[in-house]
Amino acid sequence: MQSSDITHIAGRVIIVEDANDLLRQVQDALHHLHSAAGEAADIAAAALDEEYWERLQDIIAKRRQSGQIPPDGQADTASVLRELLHALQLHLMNLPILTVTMAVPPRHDFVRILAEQIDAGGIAPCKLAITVDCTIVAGAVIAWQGRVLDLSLRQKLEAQVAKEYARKVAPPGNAAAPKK
Amino acid sequence: MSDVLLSTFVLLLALLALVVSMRLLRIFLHRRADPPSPAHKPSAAADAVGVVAAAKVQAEKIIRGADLITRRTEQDLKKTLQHQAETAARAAEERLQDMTNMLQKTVEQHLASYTKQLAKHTTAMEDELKRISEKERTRLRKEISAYQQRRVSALEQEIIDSLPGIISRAAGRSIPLVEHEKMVSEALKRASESGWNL
Repeated sequence: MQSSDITHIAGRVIIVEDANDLLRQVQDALHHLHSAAGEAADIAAAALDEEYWERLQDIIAKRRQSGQIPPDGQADTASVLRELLHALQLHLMNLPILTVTMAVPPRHDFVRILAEQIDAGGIAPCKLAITVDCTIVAGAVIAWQGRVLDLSLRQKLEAQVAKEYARKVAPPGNAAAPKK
Repeated sequence: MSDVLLSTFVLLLALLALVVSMRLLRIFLHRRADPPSPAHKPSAAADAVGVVAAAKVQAEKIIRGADLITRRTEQDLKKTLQHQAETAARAAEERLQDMTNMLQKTVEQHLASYTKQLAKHTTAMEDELKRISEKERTRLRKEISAYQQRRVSALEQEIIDSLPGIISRAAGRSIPLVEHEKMVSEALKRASESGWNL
């Protein structure tokens, strides 16, 4: 299974809520494929959103073209579908999370824009989580793979105040130095 | 004791007189058994009767004397005992008075000594308390001063810490949403420029 196939279905950067929704759909599809009778393609189409189903169909079509699946091989199609869905499930469950903290709740389309911007920035496949913390005033705090980049206005203000305090308030040699 | 001996002696004397009288009576009876000459017969009997009577009188006299002596002895003994009892009572009273005086004197002496010692100790304790009090006051002054210093520093720090929050709230309301989004995009741009090595 090529990872490019999976990223083609889910996208390189997927919003956390979308990832959870897709994971639920994949799990439903797999469950119906195992239990319900009928054509595999119909079952998957019923479980998945049209967008994701179309991407899956693209991959299956490519494999038919490359001869991996016979033109009329229903059994082989069901097998490839199950394989893809399993891989997609595993991928979604193990994706790392990029957390972006903002001062105000974002507009929905802005989150999409951010996901595209992050994707364009060459990041590894990930889930994008947006959180809100009004105390950061403005800007963003970005957390990725155990590291944090604080580019908030609060941090700038605190640094400025600490600098002023050290310069004006604290007498020379005072132990009560300002917090960093 | 001597009175008892005297009474015993008088009784013995009366007994002796009685024995002598009996002896004389016996001699008289022997003489009647061997009849004397007729010339002396009436005179001897008369003598014997006279002797017996005299002995009787003498014995009665002695018994009366013994009674008298006994009564006197009893009275003397009573007086003596009363005198001794009174003497002993007086002696005991005097002794008791002496002991009371001695005890009172001893108590007064001890009391004076203890009072003196107590006064001495009280003065020493007052001095010690003054010294401790002064030391404690100095320590407390230092502690209060240090506490004030700490509190002032803490308050200064709290003011400094709260400043960003106050500024944040004031500034946060005045920043439009578009500006927020722009700042977030810029932050992400900086992160991507660093190759996501935050």
